[in-house]
Amino acid sequence: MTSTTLTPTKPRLGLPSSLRTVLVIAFVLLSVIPVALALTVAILRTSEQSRAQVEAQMNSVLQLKIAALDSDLSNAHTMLRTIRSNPGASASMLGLLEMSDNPSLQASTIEHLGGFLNVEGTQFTEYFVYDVNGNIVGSTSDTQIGKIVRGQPYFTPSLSDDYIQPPYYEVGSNSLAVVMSVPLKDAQGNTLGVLAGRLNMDALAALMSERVGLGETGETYLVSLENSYLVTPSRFEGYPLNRSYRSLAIDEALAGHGGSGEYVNYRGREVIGAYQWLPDLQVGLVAEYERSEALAASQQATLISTAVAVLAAGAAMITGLFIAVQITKPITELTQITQQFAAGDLTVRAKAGGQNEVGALSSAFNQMAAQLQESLTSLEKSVQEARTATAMAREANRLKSEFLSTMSHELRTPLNAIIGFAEIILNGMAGPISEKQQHKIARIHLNSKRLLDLINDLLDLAKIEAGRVDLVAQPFSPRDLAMGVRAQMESLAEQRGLGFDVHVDPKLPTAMVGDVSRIEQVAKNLLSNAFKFTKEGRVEMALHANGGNTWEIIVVDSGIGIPPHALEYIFDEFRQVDGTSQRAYGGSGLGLSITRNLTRMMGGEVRVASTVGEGSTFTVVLPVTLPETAEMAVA
Amino acid sequence: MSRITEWEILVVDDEPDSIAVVTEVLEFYGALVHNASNGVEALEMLQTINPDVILSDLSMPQMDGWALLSNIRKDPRLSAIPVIALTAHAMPGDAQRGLAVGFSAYLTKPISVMTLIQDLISRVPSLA
Repeated sequence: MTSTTLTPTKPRLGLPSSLRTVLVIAFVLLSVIPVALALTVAILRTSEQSRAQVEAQMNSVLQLKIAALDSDLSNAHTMLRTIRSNPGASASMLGLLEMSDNPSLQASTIEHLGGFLNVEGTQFTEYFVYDVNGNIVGSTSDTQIGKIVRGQPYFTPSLSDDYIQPPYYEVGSNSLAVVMSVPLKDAQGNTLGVLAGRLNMDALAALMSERVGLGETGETYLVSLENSYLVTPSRFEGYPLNRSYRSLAIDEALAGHGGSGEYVNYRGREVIGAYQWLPDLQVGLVAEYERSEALAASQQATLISTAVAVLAAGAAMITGLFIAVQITKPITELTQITQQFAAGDLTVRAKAGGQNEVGALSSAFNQMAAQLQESLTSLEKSVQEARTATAMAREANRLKSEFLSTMSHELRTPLNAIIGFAEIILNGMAGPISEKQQHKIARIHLNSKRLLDLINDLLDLAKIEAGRVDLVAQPFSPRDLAMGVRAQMESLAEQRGLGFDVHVDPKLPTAMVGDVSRIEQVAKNLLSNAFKFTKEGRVEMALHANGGNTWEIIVVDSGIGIPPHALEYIFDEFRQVDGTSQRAYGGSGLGLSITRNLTRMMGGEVRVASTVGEGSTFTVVLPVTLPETAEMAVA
Repeated sequence: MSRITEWEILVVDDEPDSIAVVTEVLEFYGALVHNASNGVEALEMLQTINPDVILSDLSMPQMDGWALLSNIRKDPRLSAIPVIALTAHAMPGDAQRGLAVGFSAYLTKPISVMTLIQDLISRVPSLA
């Protein structure tokens, strides 16, 4: 089986090359893009909601702290007034003020007063009483007695009315303090002294440190107007008092405003916070929450959503791959089958592929494959038959050639006797004969010679057709060729009373290469043919240079000519113009056939042009081959 | 040896008519002609005669022309005698084969009566 040489086309490189890849990409894009869009919107909304929620939460915390602070301060205030309005306590305190210059009495009075002044369970760390000169006359803290508060900021305002001293660094103690006071007055309304209480800063800090709803990063703190220091400790930095704290919220609150929003806090963190100026305490209250924590929940949601999206994309990819494989697998298989087929295995067939398009393609392929196989098989059969036929023809040709050769031998033997004896008689070697006898013997001789010519031509043709003629290429002179042919044919022209001339084109090379005996045979055949069909007039032969790679032997006669319909077959064996002409004009009828065969063998062609009643022109066109070296040139 | 009347020639052929034609022509010019109808007969005759030239057909019964030539060339007494093939085997190439095995000349039938003598003289230098 001969293998066909169909080369399978390689898939071209480029974007995207494989159907499978395209399908998978499409599936992933189709699943991921909507999910990603929805996610983005959801995440944005969630984070905005979280932010707003935290801001609201900070406002609430702020309000709660304010309420708690107000409540504490109010309780503290009420406590001072309650003590002042208690008759016992009041009498004791006034007594202390009167005997301020008598320390011995003071002790018992203070002891007495101690029953009323007790910081246990109050917002205060200390109660103390001072006179209008600022001398502390009594205190729950013994060490304070005798000290002078005239220099403290609250001293002057505390003499006239209830007063709360905003957080300040107490002169002497260098610790932060908030002092609340009520004046002690006589019946006429003159101030005799002041009952003051030092607020428990730890309790204040505890209130601010109460971090319900503040998560991991949320805090509330109070900032003093003075130098922006922290009144309650920072959740993260404790209680450093030696620096001022600044942020948008702190600045706004200390400027007397309230509000909420996003900003960068004193620690440089992005926070969501609320703030309020507290005029009573002259401090700003800030509640804030780190943005990152506020959005952590939504970030987690984002994370989960992203994970879901990735999973969805993965699922889509697997699904896409699965579908792509489902789609491309039969195509790939079909491709392999096609390549196998192209490689020469004509028996392969695609699997039946169901009702879809690929199935249709498979069955179309199978149909095509079957047809192709059938065609190739029948083609091979034809080729085989042709080979057999060729071999048979060759053998037949060989047998024909052998047969003709044998026949030639067997015919020559009797012809030898006939021609020999005829010539012996004609030459008078057998004694004198009458003119009548001479004439008849001559007829026998002539016809014997014709028979011999026929045998020679048959033999020649048989050799040519059997492919047993080898051309012998040798240098020759066209001019010598022409002269030789003229010498041989002149007598025939004279016998028939015809004009005969030979021309040689001076442009022809003086030497060419070819089988000169065969070229001469061709020329003589054409001339014999011309003489045979020309009753009167002339025959001319010309050797003509074409200027190109060819030259021509042209034989022109003024004979009977050839009708157009006969031009097709005059070169066939035994075909002259008609059956009668063969008898009338003699010859073997093989000359033109031999001429054409020899001309073709030499790589040329023979043409004929003719007009009935005017004559014919035969032209043999032959290739020009020049001798390669000077030595080969004809001398 | 230019005189034909002094030639002594052996003609070998199985066809009596072929022998007759050649013999008649040669005798017409005065040559002495011996005939043999095959190689065996020719070799027998060569025991007694010493011809100037032998004309032999190729296809013959008993011993053909090729074998005859071979025998003559092997015999020191005869090997110098020119042997000319005279045959109806006229295919191109036949002559070359004949000359290659040692025939002095290769003439094809039918012979040309008018030129036979000239053909012999031109091909066999010893006859000239």
